[in-house]
Amino acid sequence: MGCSSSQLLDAETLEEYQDCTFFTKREIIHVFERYRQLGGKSLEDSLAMNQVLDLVELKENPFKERICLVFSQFTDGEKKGHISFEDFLDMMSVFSEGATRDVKASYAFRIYDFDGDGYLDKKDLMDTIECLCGKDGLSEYERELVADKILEEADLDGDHRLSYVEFEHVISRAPDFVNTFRIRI
Amino acid sequence: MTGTLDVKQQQQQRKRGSHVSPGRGSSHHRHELLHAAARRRSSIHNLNNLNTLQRQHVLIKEGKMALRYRKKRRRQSIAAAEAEAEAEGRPFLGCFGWTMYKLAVARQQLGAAVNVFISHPWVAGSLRAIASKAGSAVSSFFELYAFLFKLNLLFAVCWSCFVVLPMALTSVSEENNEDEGTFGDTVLGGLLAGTGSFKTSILFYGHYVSGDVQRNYDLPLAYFSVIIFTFFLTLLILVYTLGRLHRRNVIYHTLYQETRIGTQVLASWDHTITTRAGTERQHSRCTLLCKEMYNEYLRRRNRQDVPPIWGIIPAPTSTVGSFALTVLVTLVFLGGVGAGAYFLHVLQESEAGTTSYWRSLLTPFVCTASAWIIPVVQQPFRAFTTFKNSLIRMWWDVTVMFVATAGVFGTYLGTFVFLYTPNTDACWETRLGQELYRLVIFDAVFRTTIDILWLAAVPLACRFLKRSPPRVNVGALFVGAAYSQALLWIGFPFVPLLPAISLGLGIVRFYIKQAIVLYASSHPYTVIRLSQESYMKATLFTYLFSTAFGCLIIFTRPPGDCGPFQLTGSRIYHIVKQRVDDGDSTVARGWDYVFLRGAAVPVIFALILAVLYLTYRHRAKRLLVEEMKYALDREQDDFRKLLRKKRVTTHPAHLHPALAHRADGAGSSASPHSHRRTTRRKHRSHHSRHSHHSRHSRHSHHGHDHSKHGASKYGGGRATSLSPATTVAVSEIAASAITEEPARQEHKALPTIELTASSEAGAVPIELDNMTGQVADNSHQQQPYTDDAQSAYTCGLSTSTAF
Repeated sequence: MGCSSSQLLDAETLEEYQDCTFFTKREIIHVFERYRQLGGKSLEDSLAMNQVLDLVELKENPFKERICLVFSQFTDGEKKGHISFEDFLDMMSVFSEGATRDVKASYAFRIYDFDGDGYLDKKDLMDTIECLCGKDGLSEYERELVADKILEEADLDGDHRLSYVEFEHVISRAPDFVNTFRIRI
Repeated sequence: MTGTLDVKQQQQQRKRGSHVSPGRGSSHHRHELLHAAARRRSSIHNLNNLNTLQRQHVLIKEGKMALRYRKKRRRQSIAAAEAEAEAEGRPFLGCFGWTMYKLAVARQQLGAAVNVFISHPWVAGSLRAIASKAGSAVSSFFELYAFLFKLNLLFAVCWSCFVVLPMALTSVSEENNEDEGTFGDTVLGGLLAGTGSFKTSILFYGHYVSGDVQRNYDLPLAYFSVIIFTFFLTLLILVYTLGRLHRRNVIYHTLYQETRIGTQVLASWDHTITTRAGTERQHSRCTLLCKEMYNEYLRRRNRQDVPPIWGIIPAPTSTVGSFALTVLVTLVFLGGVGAGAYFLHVLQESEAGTTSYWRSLLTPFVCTASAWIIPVVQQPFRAFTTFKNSLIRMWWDVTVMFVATAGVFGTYLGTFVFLYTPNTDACWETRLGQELYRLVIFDAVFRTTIDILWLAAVPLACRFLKRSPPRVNVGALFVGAAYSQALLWIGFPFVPLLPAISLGLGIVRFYIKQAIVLYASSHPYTVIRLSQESYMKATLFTYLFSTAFGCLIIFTRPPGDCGPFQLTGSRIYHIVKQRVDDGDSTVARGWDYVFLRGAAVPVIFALILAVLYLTYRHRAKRLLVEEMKYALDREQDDFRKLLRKKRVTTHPAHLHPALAHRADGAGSSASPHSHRRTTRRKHRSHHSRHSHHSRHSRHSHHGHDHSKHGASKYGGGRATSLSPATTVAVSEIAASAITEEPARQEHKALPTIELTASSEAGAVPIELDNMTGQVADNSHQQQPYTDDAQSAYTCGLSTSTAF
């Protein structure tokens, strides 16, 4: 017999989560309900990545694995990519409507950073373009050309890679970014 | 990655000494808390004079660390605030603080609710589908369409609430025996032409007579007020939208043109999509976007030559020659249109006073057909627009279409107004309203019928002939939308139900056009991008033109013997003077003071608009200046970091040998190049056929590589131990810092992304089979798409957001 969300999330915890995320208390409870539907039992529990990828909102997202890895607190070992409730809540908060542009840009940068070195080099950009266009979209040669063009435009210090500052400088010019970097849960 | 950033922030926090152990009890603890509170006091007092907790929580929410660290920070900040409050002997958070905090939370929730309400998922879904199939340029036209729809909705609400409903609730339709026994007396005939019982219904101006309504509601004043209110409101909305778009785009177009591809590509994925079909459409959209942006970049850089006229006649090479040819052919085209307009004028005069129902529909039909056929007839003439700049070519063609359509429509309406003088018809407003109503209905029926036939026939024909469908002509779509909207803006004072009718027609036409784009047309190969600001300027111009025409009619002709203004005297705006005179004497004196000064009101309004416009321009420029300052600061920071990395001094003596070495060894031009540009050129040299700076680039490349590892390879990277190549690279940095005018970039031949099936297999244009979404087999087409660009270009909009 399981506990209800309100029993697992006491008032103080809800208050804390409300203050630290862009959700209201009701939304936090709703997020917890969705977490439990995926298989999570408690706040301390964690879900495997393939369980989280069953989420309807993430299933068809080409960046779903990267999103899970970025928000996961387990960066290596057996539990790499596992998502606890706080990670899940954090993920939904960043992708919510209330999150600011800076926060979204910061996480977008991390998602696109496939090798996790803190920079977007040509390989990262090509992988990003492959995810954006699909495997049948552009050929490798075309992806390389577009990645080169992006680097040429945005690489201000000439190190052949984009730092977060350069990336943020590029992404902040997109008026639609805040609206499209969103998951409605 | 997440861990790395979080650890860094944790270290920063530790340095700042923000670790405060919460709790009360012992004096030692209180002492610690007091010290912590004192340290934090300066940062807290630097915040706005709201409550401490709220501001701290804003900072916590927007922190880019993981949630568990944000929770920790929150506890620390609360403990610190409590300690400070305790030390100062006041409550933790007063009544005012909590109230403001709760208000802020409620505002956030309200904002989220409003966003959901006005996000229009059905429109957004359609726009996404269009963008994925036909690209962002075509979907931008539909965004304009949605904006005009919202504007018409505002019109419809105002007219329905204040004019139509009060009249509809209290009056009945009068009998009309003019068309008795004819097709015009039937429901269908009356609906098509505004005859029969429809003529004396709430559809037209003449029915709005203040009789029973006057007792409780001043209909004439309401009618006039709604005209003026909707006029000014529409103008304000258009100017505001134009200013907002200008402010948003000024940086995009002025400063950050260089990041256009990066901005479009990296922000292109829509994470709200959750279905497989939607994801595939999104992939298609992103692929098109990448190709469009890259090819547009190449076109701007390389300035491709104008293709031959009709594929046969070579285009003039000189600027004067191309201008002369373009102007000559345009004049020939406009002359033909003028002849057609004259024919329409003669036809109108011959049909004036006709009583036959079908003959009275002839001239509106001819006018509507002309408006539709002009872009089609102009298609072969566009080949003669031979300006080298593709943007100017596109603007020229759209302007010619616009002028031709406006000429035909203006001739038609002017002739009609001229023919129907006050002596001819007692109620010329209703007669004019009938004519405008017919134009609207014919325009909707005609275009919708053509579209439905197109939707039914073209996919079948393309399957049978194994050819791709015609490409989307966004310029023609815009001119058609502008024509329809102009009819509404001129017609609504004479046909109060026209805004509501246009809404229904607009929805139908939106989805039919969407179906044509998705299933019966090809995406445009060559996209010439306009900003939404340019489209909004064209819409504003259409509005001013239409309103001027309408005002000319309304404010220069005396009212007829019908409608709400039949007793107002020689001009309809006298209704306001009458009401003012009948009312309070103070108001009357104030009114006289303002309006007896001739053009006081129009001048005041023009001044308000000018101030509004200048305010937006000022805000845009201020934003631009801030961005430039930020960019300069960052460049200086990057330069300082680079110098620190290389550990090089900027002593002039040190630079001179490096400059001399570069001048001797590289063999490049003496003008200094920025390090950034050199590195980019070096990067491009891997792909470019012309390695003009390759030797120089290789020097820089090696220098740069060495500089990265300078510390390890050269034992600390001291100035004296740097390699000459590194010195060259650094000297370029130093030189670029003092150079005012960067050297002009040369246009190089760059690799192209052909819209081909395979870049190795030969130039075969990619054609999507619109019925199945599969790539069609077009091996029978031998020419690459660039040769086909003559007939393929169209205009489009940037992928900026919706209005």
